[in-house]
Amino acid sequence: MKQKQKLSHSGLETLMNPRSVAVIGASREPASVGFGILKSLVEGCVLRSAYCKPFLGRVYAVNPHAEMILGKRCFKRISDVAEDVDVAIISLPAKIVPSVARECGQKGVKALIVVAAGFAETGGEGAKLQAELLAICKKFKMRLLGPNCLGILRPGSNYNASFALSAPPAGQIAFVSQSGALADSILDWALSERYAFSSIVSLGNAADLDAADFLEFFEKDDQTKVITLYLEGLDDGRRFFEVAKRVGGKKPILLLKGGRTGAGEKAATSHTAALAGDWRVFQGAMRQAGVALVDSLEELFDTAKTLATQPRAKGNAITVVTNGGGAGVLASDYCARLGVNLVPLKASTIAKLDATKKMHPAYSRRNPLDIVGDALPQRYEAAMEVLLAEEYVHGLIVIQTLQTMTDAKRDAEAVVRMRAKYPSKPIVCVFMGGHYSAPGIKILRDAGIPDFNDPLKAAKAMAALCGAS
Amino acid sequence: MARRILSYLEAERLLSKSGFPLVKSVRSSDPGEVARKSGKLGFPLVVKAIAPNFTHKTEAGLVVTSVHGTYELAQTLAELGARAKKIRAGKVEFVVQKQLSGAEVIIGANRDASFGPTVLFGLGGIYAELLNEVSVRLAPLTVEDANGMIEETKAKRLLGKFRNFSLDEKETAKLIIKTGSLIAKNKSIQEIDFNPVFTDGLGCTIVDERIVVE
Repeated sequence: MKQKQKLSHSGLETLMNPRSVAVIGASREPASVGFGILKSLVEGCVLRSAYCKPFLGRVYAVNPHAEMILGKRCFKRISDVAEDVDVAIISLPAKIVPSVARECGQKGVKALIVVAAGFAETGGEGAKLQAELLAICKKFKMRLLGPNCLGILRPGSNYNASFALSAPPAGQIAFVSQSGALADSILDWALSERYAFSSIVSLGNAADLDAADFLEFFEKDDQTKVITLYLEGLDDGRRFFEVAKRVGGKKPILLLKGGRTGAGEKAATSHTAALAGDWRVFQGAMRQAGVALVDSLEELFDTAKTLATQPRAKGNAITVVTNGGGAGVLASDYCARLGVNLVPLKASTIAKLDATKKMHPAYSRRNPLDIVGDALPQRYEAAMEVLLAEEYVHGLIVIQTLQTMTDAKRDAEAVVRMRAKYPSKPIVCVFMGGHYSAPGIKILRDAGIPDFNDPLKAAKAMAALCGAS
Repeated sequence: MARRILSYLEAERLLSKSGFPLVKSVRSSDPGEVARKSGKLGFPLVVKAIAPNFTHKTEAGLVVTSVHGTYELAQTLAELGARAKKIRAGKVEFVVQKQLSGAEVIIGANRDASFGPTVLFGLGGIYAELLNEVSVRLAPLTVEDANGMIEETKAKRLLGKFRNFSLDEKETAKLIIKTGSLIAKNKSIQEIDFNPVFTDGLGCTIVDERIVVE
């Protein structure tokens, strides 16, 4: 176990919520990292999206050879900046980073983000360089993110100190990644899938700030409701375990582990200089800490989105409404496998359903409630209303298969009305199909209601909501 | 400090001092004396020859199981004495234990480079290698942690249904927790193997142990 001497916590606070940021190595070359970072701060992101907004604090560009970049006057050195600088993001070759870090320390910068590669992940010389950089940060009490990282995005406060290609929607999911490239790809995905983030942090080599430090930060961060992580290995697994155990009691933690197999472990070593631990020990430790391990990136963010947007089920008694028998059968199978309890419907509930006079004579009269293929929005709404109004029903899965008369748009609107009317009960949808269900799916997405193309994913989401295992 | 395996006597002393449930046994360097003392154990018996130079008793052929009756015992003791002499095992002692029946499980502990002390629980006997049914937690453990470890494996279902042995869950969980405390409290202990542990619905008994210190 490598015990790190921990630096002050206020530095981490400042790193995540700075008033001023300097880009050292700001570049005029549009295809360069140094240009991208400055653009992310000045305009909000490199490639425009609907979510790009300029940083509201002060931004300084440092480049001894340029006059002006992106409308920012360039300073020759960080020491030429007259005002205080909270965070410096250094985009320079590894070899000169330590001397620049020293200048930042002398200037009184609180935290550094070092994006350059060429440190511990390359071995011998690089490791020495990283140790030197860390020693300088400790001397001047600066917190360090990286080296070898993508940076930080905090969409909620328009803070994008990264060279990520774009900015995602602001939301309540924090994502901490040991892989920078992975974080970058997630952003693009987020734009189409509407994964909404409070923060995206790329750890890089985690010379100083590591995954446990960020768990502690997000524990208290009001913007964050769910914490997600992609990790390949942990230098100090014990500390991560202790912190996760505490934080997990307050906010759900979801984790995807890379490097489970021998081949993966080899790749991990060359990737971020972290040694991937034995999978079984890791798995046991995470179960013990209450961290949910997921199998894929999609599951990571689908589950996070569900937990961020839906209320937690009061208990494990779930109902399914469907207009297709097969989809209902699949949903029951998956729920049984995942420990989601499909509660038997009481006779009084059936009586209420009958009383709506909207049910088909051949409707299933049991859970899953098959309201038959010709169901129109009114029938869907009546069924959802009766079920959600029942005290003993803790959550609802709504399945819509596409039939000739199906009105996906109005079905979705009915779901949105039910979401508003029963705010304490989680709803998860499966609007199956593609082209013709798209208008309905868009309405659900805009309303922040999880919708999946497969009953298995909906069952997994509901399992997370009702704490089934 | 170099890594070494505790001798039979050191391990027994450490474990009985800490109240671990060890199998009933008698010990002596004199075959006649050990035979006399083992009268109270009842048959069948397991007979072992132990020596400081030999920690892998089974591999060296110094363990004999299913010994029935006094004649067979005397014969076995003589054979083991000869075998030990042949491989120059050094000063030999004989250990005679009651041979148990029941469900076999493994309980072990280890130090992980990143996570520190860990505890392992798994199916023992023929299932150990066949099914690889094990679970791991970090030490020290709570009762919920230990129950979770048992729950996670197929131990309960397998041992109950197919072999008519039942797992004493409460005692197994206690032993798991105790093993975790032992490694968590003793910095010198690097590895612990209790293999097998017999459980028969009325408790747990450690039949063989291996403790690595540094």
